[in-house]
Amino acid sequence: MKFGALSLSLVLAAGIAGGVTLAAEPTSSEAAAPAPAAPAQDVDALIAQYNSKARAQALEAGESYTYREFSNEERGWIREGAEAKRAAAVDGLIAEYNAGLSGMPARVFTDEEKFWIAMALDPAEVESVYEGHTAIPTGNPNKVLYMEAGELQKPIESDPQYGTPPAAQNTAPLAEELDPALRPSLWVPVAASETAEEVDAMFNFIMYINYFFAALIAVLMVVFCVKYRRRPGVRADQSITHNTPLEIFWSVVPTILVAIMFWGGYKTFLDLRTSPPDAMQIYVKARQWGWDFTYQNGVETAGEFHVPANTPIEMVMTSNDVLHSFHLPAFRQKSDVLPNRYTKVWFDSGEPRTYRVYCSEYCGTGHSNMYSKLVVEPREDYEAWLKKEGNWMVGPDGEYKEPLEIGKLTYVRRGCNACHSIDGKHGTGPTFAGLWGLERRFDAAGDNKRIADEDYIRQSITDPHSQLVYPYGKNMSIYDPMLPEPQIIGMIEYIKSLADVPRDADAW
Amino acid sequence: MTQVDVPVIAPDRPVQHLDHNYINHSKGILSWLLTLDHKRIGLMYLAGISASFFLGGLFAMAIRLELFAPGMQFMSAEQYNQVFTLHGAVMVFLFIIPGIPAALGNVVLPLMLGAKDVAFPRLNLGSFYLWISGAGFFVYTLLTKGLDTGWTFYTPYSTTGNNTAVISATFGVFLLGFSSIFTGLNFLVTIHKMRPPGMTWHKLPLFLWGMYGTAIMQILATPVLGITLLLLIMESTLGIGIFDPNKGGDPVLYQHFFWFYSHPAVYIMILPAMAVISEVIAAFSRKHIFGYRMIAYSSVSIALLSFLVWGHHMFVSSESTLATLIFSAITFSIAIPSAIKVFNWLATLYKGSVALNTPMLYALEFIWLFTIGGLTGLFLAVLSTDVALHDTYFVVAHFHYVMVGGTLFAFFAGLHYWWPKMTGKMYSETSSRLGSIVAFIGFNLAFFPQFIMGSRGMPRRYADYKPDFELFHQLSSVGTAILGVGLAIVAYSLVRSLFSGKKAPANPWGSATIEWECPSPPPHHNFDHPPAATDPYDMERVEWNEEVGGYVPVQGYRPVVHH
Repeated sequence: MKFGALSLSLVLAAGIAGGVTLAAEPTSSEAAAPAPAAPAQDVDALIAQYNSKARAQALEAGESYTYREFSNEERGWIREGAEAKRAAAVDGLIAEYNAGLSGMPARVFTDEEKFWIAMALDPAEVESVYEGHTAIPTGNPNKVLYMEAGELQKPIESDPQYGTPPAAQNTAPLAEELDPALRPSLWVPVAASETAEEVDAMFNFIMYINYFFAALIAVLMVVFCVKYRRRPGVRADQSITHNTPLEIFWSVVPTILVAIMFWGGYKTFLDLRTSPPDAMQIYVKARQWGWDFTYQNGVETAGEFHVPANTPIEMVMTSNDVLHSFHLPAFRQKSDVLPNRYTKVWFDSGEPRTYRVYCSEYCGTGHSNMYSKLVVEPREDYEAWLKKEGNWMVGPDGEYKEPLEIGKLTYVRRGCNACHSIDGKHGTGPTFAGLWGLERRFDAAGDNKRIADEDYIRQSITDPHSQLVYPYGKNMSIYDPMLPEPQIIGMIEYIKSLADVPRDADAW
Repeated sequence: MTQVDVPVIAPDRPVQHLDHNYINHSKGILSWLLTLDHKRIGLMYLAGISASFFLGGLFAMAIRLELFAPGMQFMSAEQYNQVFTLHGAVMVFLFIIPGIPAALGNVVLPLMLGAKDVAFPRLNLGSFYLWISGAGFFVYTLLTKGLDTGWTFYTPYSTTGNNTAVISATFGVFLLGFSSIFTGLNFLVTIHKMRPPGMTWHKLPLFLWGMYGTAIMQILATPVLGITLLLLIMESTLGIGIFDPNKGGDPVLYQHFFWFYSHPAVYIMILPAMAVISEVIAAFSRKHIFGYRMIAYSSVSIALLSFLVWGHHMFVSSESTLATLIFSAITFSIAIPSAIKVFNWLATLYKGSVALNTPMLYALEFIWLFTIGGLTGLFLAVLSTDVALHDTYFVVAHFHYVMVGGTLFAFFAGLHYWWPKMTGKMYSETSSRLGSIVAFIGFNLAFFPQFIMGSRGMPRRYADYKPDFELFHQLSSVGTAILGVGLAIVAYSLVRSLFSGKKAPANPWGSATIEWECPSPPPHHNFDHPPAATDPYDMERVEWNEEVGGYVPVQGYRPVVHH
């Protein structure tokens, strides 16, 4: 939104230059505070936009188009150009905000908050992140202290790379399927595919039959109760004890109706369960409590997954631990996900839109937070996204990121955050805050113990049930295959970096 | 219609009310705890079941309070999971399954047969103590450990992690299962061997047909649950791989075992309810039940078919397409007998003499709620729509309409119908009717919105939800509060009747079944002379008598024999 004009000019400039050199030169930094580096995904987004526009122009001109790759040098230009302009834009927004405060002292924003503003938040929205809290900037640009109920709370370390403010975690994607404008009726969400419409046709058929019989029974019941109410001197007619033709009639009519339902339902069920041979396969691994997706080119992603529009997609699913269920209401699709076998569902992705994925088979504490987001988008956007996801451990310079950075991203992408907090609070698993170097006890008496060092953390990831900290249970997924080496090292570094964060007394 | 000579039932003016009855027959706590009298055992069950219902109801209130708004209100997700598990487990295993058969059935079944007691009175007391022990294990689990698996104990969640609570809870269910088996066995033998002269199978009251079908299911299905739970305990304690894939087991096998019991169990819950309704509708219409044979046969066919539909709980659990086809088809076949019963009840009202006393009000409410529950079951039997609706609030609403709207309302119909017989006291019609209507309104408000949010995708067993569903959850919570108020009025009215209710006559409603021939409350031995049976729905054989304030047999009545 705010950077629409910015990226457009960039794209236009790039278009004029034929995509070989980019016009945006690094300007002298007029920003007072050094803004954090623009993350790689922003560069990717700009490139994706460029490609999307250029492709549209090419198609309009009747030419074919190949995806324009940018060298690392070129990416660096894009990044710096965007960053400089962004810093200026952020400062402008903050000035505007402070001018609007009229009389009150100007709000000082931390570097982290400035980053959020750069990422799309309004300064006013930044305030709402701390709803009920008073934010206090610290020397560390990545740490924010906050007040709650008049007391100073522990610092929250949020991840600028990921850009998720603490209060915004675990928010589910918007469910467009529930948008009243898109819903075909009171009863059901948007029908996103033809198969979903077939299911709805049966749903409506049964619903009309329900309305009819419910009304019939209610009316007869009320009429009989009123008309034949007990009155002095009026006796019941004892001659009516049965009526064979009538009883056969009211047995046969429902039988015919349910036979129609049965057969129609079965036919659509076959459509729901039989994927077309050209369906694009995505492998799904469910775990307590999140969804991991693996694409055919080996790209792994967590939390959300993207698919190209108007493409049949087949999800091949299995579970890491207990039963889960992949529930996609807009496509009227669902299947349980089992730890010992593959189950499959497929859907025709249809037009670009965002849908919510639920886990609908009870799976424990985090069951009601086990959402995922399905993003259906134009093929070129999907391809750009996939490329970006595949390179998440690689920085804009084409080199692997620092282990600590990889660790922070692993923490979120692998869903460690579902059970292990970084703010010192105990969850389904021990908190990572202040864990490094701590003595870990595996029984109540503490006879069996170990210091949390590199070895300990590695073993806890690869074989968590071999050393359960008392009194935690066997809840953690065993990563099979285990995490790739850079991610394990990243986690070790990340936990090391949290060594000084205080932990709650009850977070064993 | 032909007039034929049959033994004429013409007792002298029967005794209406007995001051020396089964309740004060003997005194002291041990005379209750060690009693072999089916009526006293029935009352003890009633007390235990009511306590369980109250407990389960408190959990329900806690659930709806937590779900009043998105975000966590006063519970953590762990606590919520424990509360919904205990709500389900307590309601299903401690209230709905034993409710009508063990509490009402124990009191009424031998009386309806004109018998002195059930066939095996000691076994009957044994069943009660098994029930108490099973319930004890449940309460122990509740107080000491967090059971959070849901009432279904699905593996591998129930056998992994630190779920030690599962062992004590499933052992409790194991004991409750034996209680259920022994009760079923007892009733089956009693109905077979202790019918009075003249009570052929086609003169068996429909309540007994229902209890008979229930007994078949209790005896044949419950052992499977027992075995399953033993296997579950063996897996958790001995590490034998049966259901846990980490040990080489298969979690879906558990679902097959579990639903092989639990689907018949659904009919163990609803068949006695239908049986009560058949009695109540006929009695308060003062008219012969319509289509007696169809109702009786549909009870037995439901009992038998119920063993063949367990797979419909697993349409999305990786079941093969062929298996889903077969289970879907058989599921529809079981829908027909249920529909037939509803039509028969309606036809019984036709040209009757309908009085809207409290039991009848419950029966009519039952017809409405059970109709909704049954019709919405169609969505879940149809394969394509079930894929969309499985494990959503649609299912929650559906089974609450059947189990609560069906079984609970029928339980109340039966309780109010036989209350004068059990206690010898009449309750206030005004307050009882009020309670019934308030509960009915509250129930519909609580559960109808759940159909809508379910078909829009809201999954069940969620401790928290997205704001999209807030409106429906709030309506549901408000409805639950109203339902709670209604039930409080019901309880108040019944308890008050014990202290200030007027004495009940032998036959306050004009029913023609045998249990109304003995005084209210019955003596310890039930009948002075073994009664002879005629058509249980020949309502003309009793008539209103102003002097006794109830119905008395017509002197010299010759029954009209229908063909």
